[in-house]
Amino acid sequence: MAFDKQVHYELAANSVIDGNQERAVELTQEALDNGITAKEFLDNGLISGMDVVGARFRDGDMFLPEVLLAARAMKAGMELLKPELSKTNAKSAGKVVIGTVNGDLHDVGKNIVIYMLEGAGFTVIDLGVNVAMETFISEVKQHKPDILGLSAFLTTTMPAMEKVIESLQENQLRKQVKIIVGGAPVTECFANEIGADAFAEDAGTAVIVCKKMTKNG
Amino acid sequence: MTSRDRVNTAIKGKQPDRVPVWCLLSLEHIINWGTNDGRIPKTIEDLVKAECNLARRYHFDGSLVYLPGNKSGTRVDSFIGKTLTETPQGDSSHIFETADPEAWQKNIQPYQPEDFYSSHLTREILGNDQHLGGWAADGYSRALQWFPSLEDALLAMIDDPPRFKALVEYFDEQSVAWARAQIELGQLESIQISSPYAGSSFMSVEMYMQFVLPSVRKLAQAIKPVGGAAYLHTCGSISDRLETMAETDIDGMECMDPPPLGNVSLKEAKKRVGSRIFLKGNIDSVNVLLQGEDETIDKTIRKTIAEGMPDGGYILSTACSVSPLVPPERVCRLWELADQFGQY
Repeated sequence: MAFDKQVHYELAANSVIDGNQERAVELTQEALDNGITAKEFLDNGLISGMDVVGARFRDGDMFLPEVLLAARAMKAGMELLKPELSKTNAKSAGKVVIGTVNGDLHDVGKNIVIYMLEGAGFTVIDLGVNVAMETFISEVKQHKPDILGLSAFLTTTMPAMEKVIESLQENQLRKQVKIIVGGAPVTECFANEIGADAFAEDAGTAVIVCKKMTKNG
Repeated sequence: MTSRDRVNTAIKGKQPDRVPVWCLLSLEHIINWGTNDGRIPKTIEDLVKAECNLARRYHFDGSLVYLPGNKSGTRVDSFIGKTLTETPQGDSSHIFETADPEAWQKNIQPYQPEDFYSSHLTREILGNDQHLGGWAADGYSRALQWFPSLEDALLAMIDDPPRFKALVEYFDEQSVAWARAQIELGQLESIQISSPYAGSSFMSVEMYMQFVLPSVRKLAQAIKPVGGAAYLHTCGSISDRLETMAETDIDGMECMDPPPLGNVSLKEAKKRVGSRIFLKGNIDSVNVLLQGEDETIDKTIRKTIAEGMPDGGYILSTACSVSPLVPPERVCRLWELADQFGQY
């Protein structure tokens, strides 16, 4: 039976949606063996599956454990693609530096955003929790990301977001990076007030917004 | 009617003389506004006094003892300091694949009356007219926290459900012993079952029924025979599982976060489960009490009273805890408006 690319992409996407790690690896290997380029398979197979996961999660049709399984399947496939991708210098969807602001130890929401962004093909540098303002600045200088993501779960730590933005301005870095903010108490109004470029109320929306900001959406 | 009678009547789903008022306070709120100097309390006595100061100031009809199981003179400053400032890290020596929860069952230690000094001190300060409660996390939540990260925990739950359930059952036993001791030895009257990872952001209703419901039910069923009431505390969006939660044999439900933090309408919740369990909460501490204008605060509280009070079984409260920076005069509006508009 002839190898059908479209069918193979669909199977790969479904393996990610189903969180079937073994199947995702198997299909990735088969794709490479049949001459599909890593970039093509990533975009049309694995990422395509993760896009569905993102949409279903946003709509409440999929839940966190299933998203984690899907992200794990996607990452397993990605491992096989990495050597090929690095050879061809395939571009990622964009580079995102992300962290929970100073004084705040919550990371569940931020981590979900990371899984979803990685699933959508973004390169993500996770700074973790309780990230000092100076660290955000130095990491932006070092990595030159397209987007900086700031997360806060507490009303008491939300003002730290504004301080990071102010500091980026003082360091002449504000124009080179888009800023997205999020977290339970954060609202669009607050995002506008502090001068962020975007706000996302959930991880699925964060991916859509990041794609728009990098013009991949 | 005393405050205690008022709360106990509402807990039974009945109609007291007026809507009772009782909020859960965040630890930072207790420190910010309950102490004289805003510093972290050094001993359990200092913490209890700070909690009681606020319970009186806010005219609460009930109080939750924040650290219910502590001996006299226990230093709490280091624990509180860590809670507020350090990253909570899981112990990476917890290896799920080799864990033997069944063997651990034998190691649950019994409690002694002196372990509950902090509960007794709270009673001594607030007197017998106040309803006092404690809290216990359900076994599911404790199992999740046992893992190095939430991600590890949720993947383990999906990868190996039988072993994960055994882990939950072990923590269930611990939680049952702890909750019963608070009632029997600490002489508290209700237990808040803390179950924060069970809303629709975390899992489907089917997953809830499989992993969380048995854990909550076991705890609720163990609390009642020793004379305590059990109520469930789950944050976030839970509108799709109100009936399922009510099936856990709880007496009541707390939080019921409204949008944007959750999706619960109190009016609808009253219709759906209000005849089976008491309800507590539904006022957004952050977006209303902290960030709202005075007019919005009063309007929201009055609307909440109007929706919650019909036929009794409602306790006026913030959804989750009163957040750290909410000014005390705003918390006081709950009692002031309940007194004015919440009389039966």
